[in-house]
Amino acid sequence: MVKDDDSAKLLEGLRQGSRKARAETLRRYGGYVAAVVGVMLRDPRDVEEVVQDTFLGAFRDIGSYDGSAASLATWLRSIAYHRAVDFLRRRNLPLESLPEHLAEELPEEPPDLGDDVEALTRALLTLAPADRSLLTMVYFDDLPLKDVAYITGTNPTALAAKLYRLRNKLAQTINAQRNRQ
Amino acid sequence: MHNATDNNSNAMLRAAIGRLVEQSAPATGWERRVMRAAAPRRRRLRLLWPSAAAAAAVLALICSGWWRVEGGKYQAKN
Repeated sequence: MVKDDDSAKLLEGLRQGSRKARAETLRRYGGYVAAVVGVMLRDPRDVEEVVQDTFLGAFRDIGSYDGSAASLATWLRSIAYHRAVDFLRRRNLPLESLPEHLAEELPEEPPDLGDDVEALTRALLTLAPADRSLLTMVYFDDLPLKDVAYITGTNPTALAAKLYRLRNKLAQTINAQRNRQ
Repeated sequence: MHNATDNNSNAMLRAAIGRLVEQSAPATGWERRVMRAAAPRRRRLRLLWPSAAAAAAVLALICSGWWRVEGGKYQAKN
């Protein structure tokens, strides 16, 4: 999964504990990691704590990274996702709003989310943190479902069904907001 | 038609999630703070070595009997 010489060099540097390689890793992947954690925790101070914890853990455990299982970016996101989940658990906060289902028949027509970004942002905030992070990885970071499945420890088919149901829930929330106005 | 609706919804989701990401971004300079936190152990060890060496030297002096108790006071041997 390590695709080019540049990534291989970066990985080698990280394994040697190179300061330059660590700085480059933060520059390359910091934004992705902050996005996954940010949509889950929301408070920038909490986000920084978990992002910092993620990178310190990754630098320390780089020896356990298996380049054939996932890219470095996916591996880092996976650490970040689980640290954010742990953070929420320690505070007894809800993680997921919708239970996972195995393969289910998806209707052809996807739910329309309208064209009001403000309303959609408010609707996203009604979802549980882990659900927001799924949507972020798929629709913001454009990660393939198999990578999101690796990160969250689920399977791609169940994930696709869950994404559909999450979009449906967003559409319903937006409609409910519209009807109240 | 479905694809157009889907593409529009995807673009809307991207924009809305982008807002959330922006709102929750850590304060500027967090990368530097991570780098600082990633390297404190060596610095701490550097400070620790001289202290440990000084403590060992004092202990060696005491054990060697260079200092001994005479009349309830620590005094240097003649």
